[in-house]
Amino acid sequence: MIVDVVVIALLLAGTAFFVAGTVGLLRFPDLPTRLHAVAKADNLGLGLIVVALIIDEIARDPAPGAGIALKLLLVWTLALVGTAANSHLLAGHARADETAPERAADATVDREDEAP
Amino acid sequence: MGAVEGALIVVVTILLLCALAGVWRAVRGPRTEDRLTAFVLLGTTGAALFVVLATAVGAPALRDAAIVMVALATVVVVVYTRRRSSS
Amino acid sequence: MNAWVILDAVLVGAVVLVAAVAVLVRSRAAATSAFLVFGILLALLWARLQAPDVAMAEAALGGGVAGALLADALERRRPPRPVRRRAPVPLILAIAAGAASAAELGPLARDNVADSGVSHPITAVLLNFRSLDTLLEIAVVVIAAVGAGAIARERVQPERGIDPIRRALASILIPILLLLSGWILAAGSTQPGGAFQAGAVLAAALIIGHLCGVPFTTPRGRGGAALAGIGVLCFVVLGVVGPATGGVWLQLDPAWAGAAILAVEAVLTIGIAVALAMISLAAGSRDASRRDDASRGATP
Repeated sequence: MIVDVVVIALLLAGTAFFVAGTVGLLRFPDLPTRLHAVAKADNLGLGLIVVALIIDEIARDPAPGAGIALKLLLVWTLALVGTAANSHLLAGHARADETAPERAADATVDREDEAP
Repeated sequence: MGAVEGALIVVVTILLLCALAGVWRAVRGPRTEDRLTAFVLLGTTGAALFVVLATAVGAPALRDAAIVMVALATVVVVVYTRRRSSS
Repeated sequence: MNAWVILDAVLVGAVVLVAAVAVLVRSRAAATSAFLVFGILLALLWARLQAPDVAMAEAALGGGVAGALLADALERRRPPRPVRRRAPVPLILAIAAGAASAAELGPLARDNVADSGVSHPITAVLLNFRSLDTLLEIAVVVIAAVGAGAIARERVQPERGIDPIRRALASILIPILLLLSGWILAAGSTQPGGAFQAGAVLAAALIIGHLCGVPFTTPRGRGGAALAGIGVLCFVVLGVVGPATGGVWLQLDPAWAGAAILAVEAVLTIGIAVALAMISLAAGSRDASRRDDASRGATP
């Protein structure tokens, strides 16, 4: 019973962080802030959800629960690694465009959006 | 229906709505990096959805799908940024 | 009302909405991004329909290979063409035809599921009733890969001067993807998985490897096409064995079917992976001469 409460609390907290990250993506003014929102909040949300599910699985059935826990932790670790690399690559790419205006022919702002 | 299962369904629904909201950023841009940021968010959200569904529906294979989803969301970004990286 | 029904309604609504956005939005980059998102939502829909095989395949392809192909579409710079609005007659015809055939074929498929050897109707349709289609699809991919290989020989060069972030990413991601691919392949005999999903994951590993400068991961030319073709050949050989021994095309003797299937799937996995990677990389490459023009700032 107390396990259920803990699991639900963690699930809802994780979801709240996801919502926060999404709101950040929508409302922040430029790319670095949006990247920051996505990278931090979403991964924390994923981590909390993963922990909640691990507790739930182990409480239900300890033997296969350990294997499932490892798999879930792998999902979270990969998300962390991937998001870290993605953020770096995307931000670096955007900065390269800003600091090299003579390459405007290859600019990232989509030309079609500017066309009438 | 158990309380935990109910909570799982609520989580899935909210995450789905987050994904839909991410689509808005993907469409708006204005830069392609913004769109790819939205895609990264969707990759993480998708992984979370797969993982929660795996427990809620009782389909362990979906956890493999979650790993796949999260590992491959990086591919798009690596491909896109391969031409000019500042570092 | 059952909570699952609400969830399913939201999911279906989301899929339809994002598909409509992908089709109707005018900017090419926006439509491409919407399409990538659509892939993820579709994977979730498959998961909800209790077809984990297809969900895994959709996740692998929509995230990895299709993502790689379309990311280059996001990047290409071309003068915008005016979008002409035409009456959506083909769309309406397609929807009507789909609805009509679903009404007929649905019950037919459901009645024959018991004979298919699989218990789930969707998996039965995809992997048994239309197994010949699967073979032909793989053959199409291989043919496309051969074409891609012809282009790739000149255009796809091993990358040089890779920054440490990419090297680190590759060193973490590629071993995991290799392991994941092998696991999906092996698990495919008893659980959702199999050659196609494993091949898609392996293709992503090859793409990342090429982009991060890992040696021996650049698939191109005759070697790549040969690897891709061997997979299809093995599949065909296995299929031919059936009629050669007096049975039916694509029929397998249960005694050695398990080992044979796994062996063929392994070869197919490598073939599919090389083919998909070749297509993605070749489709995204630029002419070497144009690349020089672009970096000098000249308008292409």
